[in-house]
Amino acid sequence: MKKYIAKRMFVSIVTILIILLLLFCMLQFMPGSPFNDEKLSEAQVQVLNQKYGLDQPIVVQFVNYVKNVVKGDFGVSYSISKNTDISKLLNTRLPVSFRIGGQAVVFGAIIGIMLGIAAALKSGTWIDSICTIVSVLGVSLPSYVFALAMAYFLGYRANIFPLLYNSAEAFASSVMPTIALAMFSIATVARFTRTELLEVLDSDYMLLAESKGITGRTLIVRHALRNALIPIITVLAPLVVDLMIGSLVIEKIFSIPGIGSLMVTAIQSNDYNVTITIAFIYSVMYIVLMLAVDILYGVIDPRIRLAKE
Amino acid sequence: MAEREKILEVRDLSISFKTTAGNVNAIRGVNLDLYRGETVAIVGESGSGKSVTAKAAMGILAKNGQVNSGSIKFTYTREDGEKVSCDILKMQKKEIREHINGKRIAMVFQDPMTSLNPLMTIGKQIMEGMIWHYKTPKEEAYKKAVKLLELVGITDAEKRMKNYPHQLSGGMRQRVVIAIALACNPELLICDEPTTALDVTIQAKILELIRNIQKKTGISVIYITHDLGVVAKVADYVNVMYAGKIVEKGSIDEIFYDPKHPYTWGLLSAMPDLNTADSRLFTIPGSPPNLQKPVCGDAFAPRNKYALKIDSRVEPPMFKISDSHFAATWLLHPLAPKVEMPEELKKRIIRMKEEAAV
Amino acid sequence: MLRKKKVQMTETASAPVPVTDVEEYLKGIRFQEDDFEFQHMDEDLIDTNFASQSFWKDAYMRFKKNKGAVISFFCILLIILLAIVGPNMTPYTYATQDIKNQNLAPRVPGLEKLGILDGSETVKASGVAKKINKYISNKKTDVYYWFGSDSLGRDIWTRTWTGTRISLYIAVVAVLVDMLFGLSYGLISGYFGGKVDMVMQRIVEIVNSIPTLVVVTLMMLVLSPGLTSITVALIVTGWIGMSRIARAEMLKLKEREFVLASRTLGAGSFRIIFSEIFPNIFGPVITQTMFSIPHAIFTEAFLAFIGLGVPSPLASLGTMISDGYKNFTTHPYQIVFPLVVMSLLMLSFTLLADGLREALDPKMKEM
Repeated sequence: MKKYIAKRMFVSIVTILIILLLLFCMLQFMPGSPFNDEKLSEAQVQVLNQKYGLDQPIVVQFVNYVKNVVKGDFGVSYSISKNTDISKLLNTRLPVSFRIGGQAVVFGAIIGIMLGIAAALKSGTWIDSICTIVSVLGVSLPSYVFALAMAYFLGYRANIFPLLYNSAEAFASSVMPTIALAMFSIATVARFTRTELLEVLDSDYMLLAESKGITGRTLIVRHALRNALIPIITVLAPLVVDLMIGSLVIEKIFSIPGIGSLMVTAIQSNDYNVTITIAFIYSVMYIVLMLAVDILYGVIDPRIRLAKE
Repeated sequence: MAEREKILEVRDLSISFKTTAGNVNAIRGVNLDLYRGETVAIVGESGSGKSVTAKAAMGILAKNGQVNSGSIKFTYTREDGEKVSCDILKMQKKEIREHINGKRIAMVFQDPMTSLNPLMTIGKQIMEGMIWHYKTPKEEAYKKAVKLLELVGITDAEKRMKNYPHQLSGGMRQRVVIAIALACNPELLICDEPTTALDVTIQAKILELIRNIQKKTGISVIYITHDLGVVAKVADYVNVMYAGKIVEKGSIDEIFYDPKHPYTWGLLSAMPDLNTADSRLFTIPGSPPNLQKPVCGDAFAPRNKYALKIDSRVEPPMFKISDSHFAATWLLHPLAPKVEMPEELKKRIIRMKEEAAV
Repeated sequence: MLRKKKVQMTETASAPVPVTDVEEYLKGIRFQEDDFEFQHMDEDLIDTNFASQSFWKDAYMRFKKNKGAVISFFCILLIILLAIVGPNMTPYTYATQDIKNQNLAPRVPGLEKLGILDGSETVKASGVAKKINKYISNKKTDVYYWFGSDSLGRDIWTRTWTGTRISLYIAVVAVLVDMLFGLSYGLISGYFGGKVDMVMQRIVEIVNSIPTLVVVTLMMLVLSPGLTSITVALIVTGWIGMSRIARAEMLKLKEREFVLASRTLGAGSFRIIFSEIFPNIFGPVITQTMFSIPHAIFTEAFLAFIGLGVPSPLASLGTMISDGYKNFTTHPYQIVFPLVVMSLLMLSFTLLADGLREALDPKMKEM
């Protein structure tokens, strides 16, 4: 198990380095340099290049770049907010995004699991049908359909929640974005839970447990749920990625000052540095999550925990 | 011989399954008797309804299964020593779980690889039943579980208690499943193809194990198998099942040495044998009938070389051959033409008798 | 004739009765003269019980039973049809602008008399809702915009169906990417195994560990936004899912007897992969392809929403939604129509894929 974790961590770090290299190369090839100002003379540009180490060999530049990233220094923004440190831009925005994203993950997972369990235990009834409808809609419709629908009916028409994000009412204004973001998670988790649980309920060891005389909650919780819910951890990482994608759009729709909307602004105003930084943050989050999921899976499931020893 | 005490009496059991393709009449009137301390085998092809019969007795039929008629009368000794009889088919699921499952009737399933909960240590799985039914204190349950593991021939029992199923081999797992089944001292053990998924060498060991346990505990056993070799080793009585009906029943000697039903002939002839002169392996032509359609007459008739005209219209009754031997074939009717079993089978039976004598 | 009747009578009399008393039972039977003659003593018995149904026929029957999938199938056909003829049904093209006709509500000839889609809309001005009809107030009584017009005075009907064409194009790209790249990658990786598989799987692992969103966004930054760039982005990211399925199926099948048999007979790798194994993994492949279509359509819409869609005046459903959302509180119709068409399209493809999966990969455990 330890060897396995070490290997996985090594692979993750290598992947992050590869991503950094890719991003670095992109920055090199991007049209325009930070000193694209016509007012600067060639000599001045050279001085600036020297100051920022841009005259050094590419490899050295890359090493410096990696060092800076590790320190949390992503350079400065070019066009959104001229010469502001990107880390400063992120500082205020990351908590907002994390909060809404976190709410959506937790909400989505809990509702999804409950719905999935209900559907599997009552398979063939109306509860099951509701679960099917919700999961088909949630999986096949983009999150902004729900966001726009809620914004129009609940925000604009009924005026229950603020239409646009308002930091004074942080929770009330996070309700609609959270639900919109969570729809896909609810759908995926519900669907997954339902299939897993049905499969477990159909398994031989459930039959053995029943033939032992175990009934009721003990049977479901001890034998069925534990087996059915472990695989759900595996869908959580991809779900978070979907949340990231969704957050770009949702944050834009509700004008939430998070990193998603920052990225959209950066894309639209060609601020490569900011775009690439946020892309990097997303990648790292994803990789760390995948790693966490793999390790968690290994810890919970004895088949993996004991096999690799 | 002491008075035989009937422990299980299945009468006229009929079960059907609702499938997307239609209703399947899996069991069409099964009668079965089991006496205390004895072993009955149910033999038949896959899909003949062997397992369904057993599952009905355990109250663990699949959700789409439906009992149409019949009774399963089970007689057991209550905690206070009194004998109680009940019809399992008339009981609520909850009652069956509380009074029957695990406690009085236990089951061993076909595939040990899938019948253990992968997330529970085997110790916990053995102890679970005792704690559930008898509120046995943990320590006592632990001690008993270790003893059970030793009984089923697992070495290092204490150490194994902490193991998860995936750490054990198939044979070991089946031993664990048997230990689980024995945990609450049941009166009846149903073994549903207990050795099919195992290697031949381990098969023999498991069969021997069950036999030994039976000798020690006096438990009654129902064996469900398609393997006549297994039957020969373990059973006292044999029921041959075809298409949801029992077509021939008798003591082991009667079935092996004096079979009357053409289907039994077929099964016996199809047993692989080293001494057969004919180098071809005999098979029964065709495949079992589609039970979605109502069966008219004898279900085996289309595959039966000796089928009579009446077989396709009227179902044969169970003709009595001896007190324990019955067979459902029109060939036993006084008016029927005299038909002997095939020559090849006759020779084989003689050989079997010689072997048994040695 | 007579005999047949008799037979049936005895049948109904005997079949369901439990046989306990043989004597009684025998008394109840009317025996016939030839009852105790052999049926087919001298015939060779041939198996006639199960007329096997072909896999495809079986799958078709199962698919037909799935109402959602069938409706989805026809829904997709209808959308395709409208995408073909829709833009030619109006006097406008997707780029025709008429500044005088901006933000007109939907108005359909015929339906307007029923009081719906008559060009009127409710406007909220300083908290008071008011119903107005700009067609009448602007004296445009002979002008019809079936789905309304946008803020530049372009016809939404025409643009919606032109945009649908782009979504359908994206769907075709997704299918091709799956088939050409994903399928071959997975099949090759799974078939050759060993080092080839190791290297190929490491590549998949690395590509897969970067969120698709990041890859696509960065690609779009390097290339300029447009249909070509979207296509390239889909090619780069779209193949992974299919390659995994194809590899897994290949690993399952390649040790099977029929493949071994073919190999012993001297078939080459190419032949084994494409004529032995491919037909056997057709089901999962089709299903996966169907699932990747809504995903690709969504990717396009997502890119459009964050400003990387097809450049104006070209319309895709994504760009229309992105434009329409800016004033969706005042002119909801500008976003509703493209949104509904896209939702229907994605929903239908998902349901169709679900139906196909169930039809092609039955997991029936009923007894």
